[in-house]
Amino acid sequence: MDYFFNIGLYHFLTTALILFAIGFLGTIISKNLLRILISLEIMFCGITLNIAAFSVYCDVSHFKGSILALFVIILLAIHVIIASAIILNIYKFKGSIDIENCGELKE
Amino acid sequence: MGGSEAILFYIISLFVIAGSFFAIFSVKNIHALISAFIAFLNIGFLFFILELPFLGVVQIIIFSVCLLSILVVLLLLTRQNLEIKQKNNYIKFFISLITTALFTFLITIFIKIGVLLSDGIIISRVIPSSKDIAVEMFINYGIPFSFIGLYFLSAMLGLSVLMFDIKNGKGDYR
Repeated sequence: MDYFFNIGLYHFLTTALILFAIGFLGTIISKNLLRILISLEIMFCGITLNIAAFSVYCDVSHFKGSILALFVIILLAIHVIIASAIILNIYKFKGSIDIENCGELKE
Repeated sequence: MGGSEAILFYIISLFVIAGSFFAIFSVKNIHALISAFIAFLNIGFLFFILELPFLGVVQIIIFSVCLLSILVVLLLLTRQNLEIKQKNNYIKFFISLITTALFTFLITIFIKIGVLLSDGIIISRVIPSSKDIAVEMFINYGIPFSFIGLYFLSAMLGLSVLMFDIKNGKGDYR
């Protein structure tokens, strides 16, 4: 019972792990590019939460984890902007954002 | 953390997990975006529980507001009919589920090994303020911060190039 009411590192790691697993599952099974983008965002959220939890519980004097998490958030923003542009271009040329219509490079 | 904070943590975690789950498995794309909004907002609250208010505010502003606004605009521009075609995906779904379960199990084992190895490292919590993070970022992490800024600038330039209409030879920013 004490384990459930004393929130520690493991609880945050478990939440981050579940988030990462859900994002991974969504990345595999989705066929819509927009849905894949959301899944990647969820995966990155899990990673950010993991880094932040480790920085709070394991880093005493430095804030490396917080700054790394901040960098990850900024990089994800860049990634989403670029991916949105790519998805718009795919829609412009193909007329849909289904990934089954975007397999010309493998032929 | 006390009992009330623990209950708050469980409620927020439940919202995070349920939101991310429905963001993947809901039928309509707009429902997926709303679920993702709820999940990202509650991840920001988790940062507040971790006593990292700066990261929480950044998470809420960037993820919940900016990125989801971009995704809503993307949804409207691509004129999705808001439905996903389900085409006998059950076998693929179960294979993916088993793969993810194995993956999760392996990561759990790695975390367990890492926690066992670093058993003496977890000491105590020091809460960094926003000023401390800013000072640390601009003094000790100035060069990576500059590189991130350059990367962001080049991403913006790349976005302009991607949006340029090559066929007509004029800028079509839609």
